[in-house]
Amino acid sequence: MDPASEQPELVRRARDGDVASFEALVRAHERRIFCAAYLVTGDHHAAEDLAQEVFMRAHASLKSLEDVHRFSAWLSSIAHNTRTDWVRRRVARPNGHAKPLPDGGDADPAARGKSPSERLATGEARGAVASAVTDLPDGLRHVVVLRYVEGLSYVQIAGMLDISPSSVGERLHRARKKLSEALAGLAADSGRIGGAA
Amino acid sequence: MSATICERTEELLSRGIDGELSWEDQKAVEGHLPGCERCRQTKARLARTDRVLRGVLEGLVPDEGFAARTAAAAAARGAPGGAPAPAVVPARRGGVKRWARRIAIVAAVLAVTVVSYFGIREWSLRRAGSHSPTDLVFASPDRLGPGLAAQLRVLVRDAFTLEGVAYAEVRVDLEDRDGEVVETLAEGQTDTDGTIVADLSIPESVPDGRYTLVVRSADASGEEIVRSSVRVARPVRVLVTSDKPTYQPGQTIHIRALALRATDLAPRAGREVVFEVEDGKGNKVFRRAETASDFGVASADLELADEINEGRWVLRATVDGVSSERTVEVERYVLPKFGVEVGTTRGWALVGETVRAEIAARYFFGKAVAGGRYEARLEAWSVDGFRPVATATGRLDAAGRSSCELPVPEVLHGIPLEDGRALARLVVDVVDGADHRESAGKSFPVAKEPLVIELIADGTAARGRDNGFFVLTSYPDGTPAETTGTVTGTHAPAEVAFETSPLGVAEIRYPIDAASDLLTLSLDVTARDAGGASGQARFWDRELVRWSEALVLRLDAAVYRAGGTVSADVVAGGPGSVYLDLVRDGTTLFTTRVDADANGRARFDFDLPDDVFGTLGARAWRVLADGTVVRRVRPVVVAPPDALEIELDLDRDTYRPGDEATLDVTVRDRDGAPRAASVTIAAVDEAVFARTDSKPGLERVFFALEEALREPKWQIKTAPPITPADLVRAERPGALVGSRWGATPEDADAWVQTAARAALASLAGEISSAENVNLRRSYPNKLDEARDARRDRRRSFHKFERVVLGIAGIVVAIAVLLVPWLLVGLAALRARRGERAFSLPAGLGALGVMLQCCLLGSLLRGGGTLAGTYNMANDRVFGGGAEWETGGEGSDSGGGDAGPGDKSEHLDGPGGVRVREDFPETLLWKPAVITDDDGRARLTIPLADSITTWRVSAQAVSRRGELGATVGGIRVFQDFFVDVDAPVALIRGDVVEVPVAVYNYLKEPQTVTLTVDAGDGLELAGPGGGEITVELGPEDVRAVRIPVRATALGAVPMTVHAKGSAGAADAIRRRIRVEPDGKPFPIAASVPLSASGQSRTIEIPDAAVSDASVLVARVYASGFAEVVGGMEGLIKVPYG
Repeated sequence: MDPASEQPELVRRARDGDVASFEALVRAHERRIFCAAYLVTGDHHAAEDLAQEVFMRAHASLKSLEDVHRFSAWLSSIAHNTRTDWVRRRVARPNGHAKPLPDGGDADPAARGKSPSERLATGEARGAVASAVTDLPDGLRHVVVLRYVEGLSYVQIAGMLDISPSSVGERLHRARKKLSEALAGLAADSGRIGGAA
Repeated sequence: MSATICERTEELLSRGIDGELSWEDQKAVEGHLPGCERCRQTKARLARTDRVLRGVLEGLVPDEGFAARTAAAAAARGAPGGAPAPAVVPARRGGVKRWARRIAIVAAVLAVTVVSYFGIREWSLRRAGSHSPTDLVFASPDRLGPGLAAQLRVLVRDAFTLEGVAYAEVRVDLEDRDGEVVETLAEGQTDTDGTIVADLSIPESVPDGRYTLVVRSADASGEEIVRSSVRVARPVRVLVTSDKPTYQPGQTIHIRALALRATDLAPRAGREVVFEVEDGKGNKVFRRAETASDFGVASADLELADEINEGRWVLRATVDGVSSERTVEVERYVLPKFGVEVGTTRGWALVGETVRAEIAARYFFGKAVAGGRYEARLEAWSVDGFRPVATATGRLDAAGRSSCELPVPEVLHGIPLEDGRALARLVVDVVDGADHRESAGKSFPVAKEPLVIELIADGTAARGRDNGFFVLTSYPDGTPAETTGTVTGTHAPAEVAFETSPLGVAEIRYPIDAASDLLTLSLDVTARDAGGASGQARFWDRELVRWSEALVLRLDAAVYRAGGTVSADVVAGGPGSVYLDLVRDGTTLFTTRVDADANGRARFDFDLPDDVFGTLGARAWRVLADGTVVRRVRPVVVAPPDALEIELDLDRDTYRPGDEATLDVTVRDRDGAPRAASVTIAAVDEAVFARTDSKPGLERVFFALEEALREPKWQIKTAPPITPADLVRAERPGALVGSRWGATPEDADAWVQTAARAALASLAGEISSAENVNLRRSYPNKLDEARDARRDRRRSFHKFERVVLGIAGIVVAIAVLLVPWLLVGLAALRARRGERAFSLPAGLGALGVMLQCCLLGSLLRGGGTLAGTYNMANDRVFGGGAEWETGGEGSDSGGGDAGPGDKSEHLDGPGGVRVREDFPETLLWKPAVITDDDGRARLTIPLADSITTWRVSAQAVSRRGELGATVGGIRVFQDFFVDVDAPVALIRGDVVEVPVAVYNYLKEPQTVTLTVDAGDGLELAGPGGGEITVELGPEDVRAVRIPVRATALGAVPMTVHAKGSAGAADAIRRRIRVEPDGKPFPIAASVPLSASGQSRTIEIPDAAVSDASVLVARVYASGFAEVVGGMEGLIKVPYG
């Protein structure tokens, strides 16, 4: 990831139409945008599509960004809105989206280069987590994504979702309880998964 | 560890994972965890989940080249833009859509509500509109009771054809308030006319109270139910009697109450009878509870103090919540010496004629006031009172009688009270040989014409038929006049002659041409009686409308005797069934039906049961073609049976003062068989009744006519049978508005109201009965169907709306009550979680809670006020109940009330003559003398010293409630006696000539020597000392005046001995009340009483008249008692 000091310059240049700079920006943020998208979609390809849409939207409205120093937060909010839109679209067309199956096998790049058992375990865990997170109510999923993927503080999340910080804490707690119930089987041998992580 | 602490800790653990714990929370978690296994496990689980999540996320990366692809795609789409800022968060968050959805939801809920509302409404309307084709009609009684005979006629008819439905099953149930069937009163099938007559007898086991009478009918077309509220009661009748109508301070009021069951007059034995007495200012001065004897009789005595509130006292007895009152006068008076009667040849006079007055005067001991002088005055009422218009004087003959003639002026003031006639009064003063002056008076109407004519339309007059009218002729005092006469229309030439019956009633039919353009009918009536007296009147009828609704009920008499036959003529507008019910106390005794002939005439004859008497109502009713029910009610007064006869037998005709009389009382029933009965016997000086007339026969009248009649609504007189002028309780007859000669139609209104009322009453006319029988119908008739169905729909709609509104109201009320608490509770929860507690909802909630608390507080304070009021009411109750007055001086003025028992023989006069000094007004009071199985009882009566006739009144009641009453007399007389005409009171220091009357009924003249012994407190002021001589002829009464001076206060005795030359002798001692010669100065002091007693010193000023100071102690239960007592007296008409 590029040092934060270089980013404003990249943003300025990208705003002026420099594709290489924009690509650098994408590279700098692709992982968290993708992860967040994955937690919402539960599917690798859908997550990539969603992440790409986020960057496309950001590119399309880059000129409206006045403070180049706030690119990261700006992008986060675009990502948040895009995810929300995606979820709404999915709710609107439930038949158009199959519930994500636990990922596994070759399609998962993260599994490459690992032993089959490791890959299986990682794939299983990833599918279970994606499934558990996508099953969360919108309000809870948002805070989980913002907290775990975007790494935002309670105050930041509260500002983004227009709720109070204590509500963020409460929602996170509720989300964790639900997740820990959903992931009870996995968590039992978390030691191995933790080791894998 | 409590669950809430653990939950709270869990959330803190979650925050801890994110590093968002405050220092305090951190400490709290650290303090909690070591002691809580559950939370430690939770911590571990949360941590594991956190690790799994992070682990999975760490392994997630997009495919290689994602950035390059994305950048290329973005570049391909064009240069970076700025327009549709994707970060426009609100839009992105879907606010508009969300609101749209919310609005849609609310709209949907509203729509569902509205649709279901109208759906249910339509359903209920349809339901209300649906009906069974039968129609139930019955006249529901208001009141039922055990032993109260009642019949219910139910008519089941087709709702469309209005024809009776035969063989329909009818059931009559009595339901209590909870809808439980208490008793099935009747069951059966209708006859071919569709009617069924059910006997409603209530068993003794049914307690008093409100019930619902449920009448069900069932036939092939379905079931019909009609409900009607009815009261089950065992009413009590209470009669209060006292020994006499007037009392003086210091005497004893004897009260007796008779409690009978109203339905069958069975004595209410063993019931508590509460006697209460209110004094002249309305203070309750006496209260005592007694138990009624086997005969329902209870009595109480109230000894009057000397210092009391004079005026009208009220004696009251209450049994089972039913009260009855009697009013007596309490005042100081001197009894009259003889009675005067005055009479005229008839009860009215004409202007310009001469009134002949018959005068008779008689001493109470039976002798005539022979040779008495009289002055007769004819007085006429003018605007400011009676003014004398003629006088005559003369002397009575040896029999105490005389007559004189007085001319009536030509012009007198007419007054509305007498229907425009004038009111005159004849007053006669009689003075006897001893200068006693007594007077009597009689008032009567003075009219211009000897005949009074009333015309009553029988229904409303109509064109194209013979219209019925009743003509009533009477004399000015209301006596019916048997006359002949004619009715002539002033516009139409038809003339109809009539002849009135001995009751003064004629019925005419007056034709009105169908083509007549008359808008008002004007009729002239002239009448003439056998004696040549005549009268004329003109009447207008205001409107000519339908005749067919008419229904006239005429009874052949106004007063019947139980066991007799009542004949009723019914005039209906046309042929058809007419029903007749006989109703008592809102209960139908029996019911019958007759078909009117083509002219609408019908006649009923029915026998009255011998156990039914009192005021009954005869009701005729008829269902018109359009379903309207017309009803007419006439009162039927049934005199009670002479169930008991009382015989009073004395052992002698005449007694001497101080003798013993033996009175045998025999009670027999109507068949002459002796009866055990409770007899109330009182012997009272006849002179008392000369002040106010009160005959014990009232008792029977009371029970026959009920309290309603006791108030002057009408009077029933025995001869003539009925007096229209006295019968005033009636409603407007309906049709006819007329006038007499000389009056405008407008003026005539009021007059006709009165006249028609009186006349109708005399006809037993249109009188609304106090107890209304409610006509119940299950379903409207055909013609009214549309209107009634509309009304029913409206009603059911309102009902539905009421339910909806009620539920909404309850929901709102609950919300208003609960929501603030919920909001506050939520805020508290947030506060405990360390979240932001204050928000607008929380603030509003707190406000709501505060408001509720304020309301509650004010309510509680209000309750406190109520409690205070209640205490006041308590004070008032007790305050009203107790007031005693004690007099400081004893007195026995005039006719004292010393009992005959404490009499001692005084033979201290010259020649050992007995001194007469015991003059009670009530000689004997035996509230309950029980006769044996032979109906006999014997009383030994020690006679007092009065020379008079004692009026003995006896009222008997048997165990079965049979009643009887009679009056007799005990004559006490001696041929020669003397009397002191003591004044009501003397002032100390006065010199007064006290008249002493000497009565000589011996055959020979006498020279009588009077010896006056003034005794303590009086001294003779005349020159001749204490001895006076009087010359008397045979059968002579003379008075001498003895001047005395009063020296002491109180009741001072004056003794007179008389010795005649023929050897006869008498002696009398009267007490004269002497009052102080000064102005009274009250000194008041209030002392609160306590258990230990209170003492208070009252200074009597040095200047006070010696011996004249009186200490009166009044005890009130509270300071309010006197005020309240006074207020009661003010409010209570006519005593206030």
